[in-house]
Amino acid sequence: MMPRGARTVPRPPPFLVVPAIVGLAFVLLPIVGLLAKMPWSKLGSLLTSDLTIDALRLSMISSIAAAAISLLIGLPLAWMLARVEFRGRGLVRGLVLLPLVLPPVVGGASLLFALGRSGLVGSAVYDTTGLVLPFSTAGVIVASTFVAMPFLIITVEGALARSDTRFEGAAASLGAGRWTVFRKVTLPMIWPSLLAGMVLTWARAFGEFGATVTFAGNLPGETQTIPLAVFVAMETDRDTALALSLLMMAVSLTVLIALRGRWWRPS
Amino acid sequence: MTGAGVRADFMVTRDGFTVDVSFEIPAGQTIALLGPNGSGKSTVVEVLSGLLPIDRGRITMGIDVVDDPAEGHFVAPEARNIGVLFQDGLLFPHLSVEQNIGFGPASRGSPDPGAVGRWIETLGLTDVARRRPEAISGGQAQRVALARALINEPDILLLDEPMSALDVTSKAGMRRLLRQHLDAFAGARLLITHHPREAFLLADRIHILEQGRITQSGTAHQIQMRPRTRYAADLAGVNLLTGEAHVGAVKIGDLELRVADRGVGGQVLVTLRPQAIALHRERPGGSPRNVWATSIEEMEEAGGRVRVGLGAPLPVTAEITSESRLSLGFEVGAEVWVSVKATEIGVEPA
Repeated sequence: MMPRGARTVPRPPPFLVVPAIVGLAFVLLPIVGLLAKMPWSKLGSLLTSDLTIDALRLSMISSIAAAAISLLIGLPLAWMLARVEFRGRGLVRGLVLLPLVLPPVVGGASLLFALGRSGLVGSAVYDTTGLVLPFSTAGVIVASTFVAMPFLIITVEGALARSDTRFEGAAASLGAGRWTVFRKVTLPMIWPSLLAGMVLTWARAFGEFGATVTFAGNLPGETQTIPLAVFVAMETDRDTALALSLLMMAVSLTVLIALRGRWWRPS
Repeated sequence: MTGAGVRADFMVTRDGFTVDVSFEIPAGQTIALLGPNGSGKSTVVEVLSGLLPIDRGRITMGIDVVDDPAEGHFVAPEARNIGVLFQDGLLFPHLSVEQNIGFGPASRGSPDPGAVGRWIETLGLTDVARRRPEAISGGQAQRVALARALINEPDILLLDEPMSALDVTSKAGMRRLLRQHLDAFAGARLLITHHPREAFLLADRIHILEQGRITQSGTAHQIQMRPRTRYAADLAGVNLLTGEAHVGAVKIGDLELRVADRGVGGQVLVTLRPQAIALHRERPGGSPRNVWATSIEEMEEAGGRVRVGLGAPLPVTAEITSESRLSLGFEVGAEVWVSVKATEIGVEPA
């Protein structure tokens, strides 16, 4: 028999609680360290320097562009993977997600061999149009999109696979063509996942370093995004590195907090 | 609204399951496709609405061929003028009641805000017009689905298990509503269901679908008298009557039957299995049963069982064994006594 009166609320066991606290500390400690060393008095001038403003502008442009391009070409790719049965679908799915596990430096190098001035496609592009992708702002966008797009694809494909296609059939029976069905039924029904995928994609692009530095170089005002500027400043000017790190953290946190109601729900 | 008939004669295989059927729905008639789960009913809905192209055969709606693989003909779902009332309503969860009803007109480029308002009013949805489907009742959801299907003024109406997700009371309301709208609908109507009750009440003619094939076609009475399969005999063969209930009794025409269910009142549907109706030569006595006298009007024998069509005051079908028919000497025209236990009579609100 149960003991009377004393209702035992199960406590979380120590063998899980202790490592969990260590895990939390591990995540928070670097942030505390950063804030402890922060040159608060010089922060105003550091954050308004040309270098900072250029880097922030480039980071915002390239990360937003990467998210937008991922939406334009990654969403249709996710749809194909989720809804169309074709030969080699499993292989395509694996290849599309390759940038997730590929070291970013290797990604950047591959982009250079393909799209560089003497690259597989790049040379033909240069010969006909005179355009050069590497070491340009466009190159930063290409590199960021390459590493970040799989986040959109993986999130949206999952949502499409879970969504009930009978709703699309119902829309068609009501006279809606393929485009109307996609726009008014498919997209709204996966909207939370699409938004989550966009945020993840943007965040990955915002923090992109390896592929960018390899493919687009590190030209201030041209290809030097905040992560690249932090890397350079770590060698030369620690205060700037600290201020730029704080800036990145603030931007990322703002986005997370602004969207918390949308996708911070436990699934 | 122009009424159109449907002719369907097709074969389609999906996931290893083949549906091979042939049927016709004349304009202005309701045909029921009655079958157990997994018999291929939903596949027929998908084929007619154009979501699943057929492998062989031809489907004609009005004068248009909408699917004929041999001729290379296929009309896309959005170009077929069909209204579908889907199982569980299938209302768009991200749109309000109003927007759900207006979806068809908007998609066809004929947004008539007046029409949406009229349907909302007709179906008593004014109070919930701005709500999302998650915030309305099952009965309301099916009314929205009906309005959404009918607002486009389709030539053909498909009803896919329209009441399966509703509770008993909502079912009765929905059945009345469907009757009313089906009667006013000029085109072909196809009711897909696994409830004999719905088929008998709403359809002019019934096709029984089992394992992808139509095993029997006919009116409710024909199927009751001559069920060709076990399924038809067990489920489709049930007697269905309407009556007036009051505390433990149901009045059907001139006859009053005692029933076990005392909680139901007013207009009711009465179900009575043919196997539960006992026939006697002499008046049975001494037990608390419903007893009345009548005559045998029809008899059909098959597989050791005899279906007996009884006359006034309660035209129902009974089923007895061939042995008892012989031992009791029943013939068409014979006078018999009928007895039914109160517990064998099913009653639910009409």
